[in-house]
Amino acid sequence: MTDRKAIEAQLPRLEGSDYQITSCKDPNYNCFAWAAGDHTRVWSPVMLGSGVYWPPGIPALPSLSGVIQAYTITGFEVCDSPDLEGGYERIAIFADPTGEPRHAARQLPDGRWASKLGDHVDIEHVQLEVVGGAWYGEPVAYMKRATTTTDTY
Amino acid sequence: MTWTTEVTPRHRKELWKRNQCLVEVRKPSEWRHRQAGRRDQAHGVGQPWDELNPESSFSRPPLAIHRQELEFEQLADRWEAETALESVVTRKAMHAAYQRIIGMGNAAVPWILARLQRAPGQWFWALTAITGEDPASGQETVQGASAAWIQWGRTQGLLGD
Repeated sequence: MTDRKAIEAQLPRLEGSDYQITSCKDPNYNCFAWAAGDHTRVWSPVMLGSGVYWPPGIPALPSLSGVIQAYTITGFEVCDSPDLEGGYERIAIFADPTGEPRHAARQLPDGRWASKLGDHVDIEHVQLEVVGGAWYGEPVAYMKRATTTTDTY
Repeated sequence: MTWTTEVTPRHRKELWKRNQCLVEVRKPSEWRHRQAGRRDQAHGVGQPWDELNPESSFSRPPLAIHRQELEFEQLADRWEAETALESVVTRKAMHAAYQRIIGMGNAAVPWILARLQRAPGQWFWALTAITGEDPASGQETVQGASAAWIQWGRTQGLLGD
């Protein structure tokens, strides 16, 4: 099974949509890190010993409020929409029906979106919602930060 | 793992069947105390594994070990495939295949370490759950934690240099 087929088997909305695989598989970072611009760590709100990172001082709970707090200390603030806005970069947080955050995507300067898929590859997709569905849930919150912000995590 | 007994292909086949039987129906305590028939004794069947293989530190039949390692590899492959897109570490660790690997106990540790040596991955929870150790405490990266566990494995004699 090719990478695309394997991905589309779990994210069926991608099938037939406009998306590109832009990296090799890499288990060294996950989507929550990638959305914040961190390509070196796996961000996990629940600390399971070693090998994962969560911003210090943020409650280690798998909740939307915890994820929003984690991104807040990296310079993001909650906003209302995923629409492209000059001078800002945006992220979208996906949650499942129970409210547990399952994925985060980052908006590119041209308005497309970039997602790191677990331990798998990075993809770029035109429509935000195509990575949603049963696996990652749906976008439930948006955050933005000025593009001049320096990462502080 | 080395076969040191002298057996013909026919008897090796018989040994295979008997060892499979041991794996499936006999308790570990029965492996060392099994009553062997005269024909079996002539070919080493039923003798404790560590008597047949004095250099081995294992007391279980070799095929039991082989089958468990095969099961581990199948479970690990399944876990990697079915959680490849999962971003939430706790969900990866709660996968049924991962939990079954933890249930294998100490036998799985060298296999996990060997897999970690081949490719990084979120094996740290399983290693800590099985061993009660966390040599990678404080490591925030997968690479750093992998390196710490591999070094621990070498120190314990579970991995070669």
